[in-house]
Amino acid sequence: MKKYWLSIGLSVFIAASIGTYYIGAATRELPEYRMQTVEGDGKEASHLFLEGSVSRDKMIDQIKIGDGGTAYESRMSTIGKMFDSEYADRNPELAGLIKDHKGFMRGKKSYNGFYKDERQLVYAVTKSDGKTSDDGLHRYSLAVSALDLKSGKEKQFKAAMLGKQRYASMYVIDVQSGEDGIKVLVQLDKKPEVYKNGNYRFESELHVLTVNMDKEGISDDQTIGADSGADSGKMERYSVPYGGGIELASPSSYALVYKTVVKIAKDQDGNEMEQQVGSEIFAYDYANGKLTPILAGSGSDSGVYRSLAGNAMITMAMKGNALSIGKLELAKNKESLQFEIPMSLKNITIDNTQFFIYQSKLYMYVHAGADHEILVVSLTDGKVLYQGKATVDGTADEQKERLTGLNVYGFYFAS
Amino acid sequence: MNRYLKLVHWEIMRFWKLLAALAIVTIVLQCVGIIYETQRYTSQVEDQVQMNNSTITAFVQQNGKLSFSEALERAGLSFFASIALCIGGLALYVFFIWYKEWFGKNMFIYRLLMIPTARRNIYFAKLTAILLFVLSLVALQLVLLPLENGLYLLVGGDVLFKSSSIVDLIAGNRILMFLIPPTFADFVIYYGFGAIVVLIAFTAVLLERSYKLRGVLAAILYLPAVAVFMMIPFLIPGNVTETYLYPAESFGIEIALGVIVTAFTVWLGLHLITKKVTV
Repeated sequence: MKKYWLSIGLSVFIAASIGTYYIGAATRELPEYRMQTVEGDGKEASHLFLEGSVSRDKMIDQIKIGDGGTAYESRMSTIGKMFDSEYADRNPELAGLIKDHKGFMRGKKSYNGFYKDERQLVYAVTKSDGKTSDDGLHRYSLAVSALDLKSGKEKQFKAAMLGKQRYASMYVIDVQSGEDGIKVLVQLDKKPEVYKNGNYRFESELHVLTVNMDKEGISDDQTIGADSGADSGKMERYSVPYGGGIELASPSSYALVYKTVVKIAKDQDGNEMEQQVGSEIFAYDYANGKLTPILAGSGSDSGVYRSLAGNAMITMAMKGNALSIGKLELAKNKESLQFEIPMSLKNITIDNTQFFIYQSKLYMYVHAGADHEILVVSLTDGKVLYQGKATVDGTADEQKERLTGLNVYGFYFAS
Repeated sequence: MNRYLKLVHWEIMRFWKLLAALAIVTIVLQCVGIIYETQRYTSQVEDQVQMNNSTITAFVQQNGKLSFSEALERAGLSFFASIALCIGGLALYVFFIWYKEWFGKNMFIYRLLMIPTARRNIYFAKLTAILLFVLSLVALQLVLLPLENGLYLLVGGDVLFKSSSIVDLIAGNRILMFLIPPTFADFVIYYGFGAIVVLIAFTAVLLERSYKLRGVLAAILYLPAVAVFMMIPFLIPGNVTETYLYPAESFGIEIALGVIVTAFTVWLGLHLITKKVTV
């Protein structure tokens, strides 16, 4: 045995050194960040997560703060990180769809392309002809997949666009169901033109395509907005805003459409530039195909956020140190709720907030210095259901330093 | 088992002097690198303080203390050259562990192949020895870092310098993080993959030893063939790993392909050493 001392010693040395290091790394104490309830029901925040970064000794570490405390990325294995990086896990509807319909959801990554009701789950995504083209334009079609939730039968087909137009790009913004078929709201972009200053000028069209699921084709193509007027020096631009809605597959009877009017002006050097001179906001009704102007203000006031929540439009803005929230019923084009929530953090702007709307509740995170506030507000009655803040262990000075250094870049609800 | 362990011990005894030399070079180079960097930084700060008619305290208030992890970054080559030397030395030894048996007037391979034990023990003993050498240098680095952290403060003092958490230091440094992954699961994956690479290198050597020039050609073809095989999921048209598979499935497929490559490589290696290698 004695003559083997070197081999035995070497093996013991390896096991002791590497073992000690990894046990030490796994058990060392790192600052524990938490979401602490200030007011309301803590259960309202039990599915909420703050994702961000903290720095230690000039090293940046990614963290996730949830109901169970803090998860440090530096403690996660490569495999763990790989499984944790999926966007779908950060959206409760998509995560639920993947859990319930794993086979159907396979490879479906155009997250705006889902629609689900009690009867069916539909997915639509655009496909280009894939041919090389000198002018950068392509013919597009819609690839539609549908799952009958009662029989479990799947259907897949490719529906060619009506007409022969070619576009630079086309993508799905929303999918809903109508009486005459599935309604797919798409944006089609023409080939961008180049301003004299080198910037691109895009012209887009918003179309609602009606897909006949029995005949497996597009039965109607309605243009609900097309950028125009470039030659006259005043352009009308149409777009569908992203407003924090995370209910990607839930039914809604409406879509919000912004129309902005921009003036093409020239600066001193003769370079062309766009100046916004007007804006308007419309509700598109999938049932009758009509665009109705919404009475509540213009489309893109700075400091005002608008979001579609089911069949209502939610408007948010800061009024002094209070968050002002309005709810407009799109069917009646009438405000049904208007209320203000005093914020404990002062002098914040709506641009400093992160928010989303899910199941008629507004979830909001706001940060100023060492203070991190979380709010859950009912959009049914305007009641604050939860008010919380991020906390961390340590002495008062350590807490302040750690919370100031906490940079939150993600705020989401995981089911 | 006993014969295999004896062969492992024998391989260790044949390499221990070189391993000790690598360890000593690592210790000396890294310690010298740290001392040099501490003194260089101190003199830089003193120059700056003198030029600005300021004080060290004011400098520290403005810039903070230099942590051990920052000092390692600044030291660069004077610290990491020793790691590169060890990696290079061991990479060469992966091949040399076989070829040395054929060197010299009285080739040792005659005696080695005559040992009354299964030839697979020779194969696995060489693999184990290589892994032990690699892990011993990793273990040495893990022991050295806290000691060097102490040396750093001892030489530089705590006015301008501060220590670092070893875990954060490793996580914040690409080279060290590659050698010492952040979690034990990663450690097993990284070094498991390293073991597969060693097995592939062994197979390449045994192909050459078995079939000479044709074996060299086979070895040259074997390496890209393994790479292509491992990348099959990524080479299928339509980018299936991204557009069709869930991450767990892609990972499972890669693990399965890795197991197949390992099994085939070990089988081929054992087949070559038992049936084809002749002297």
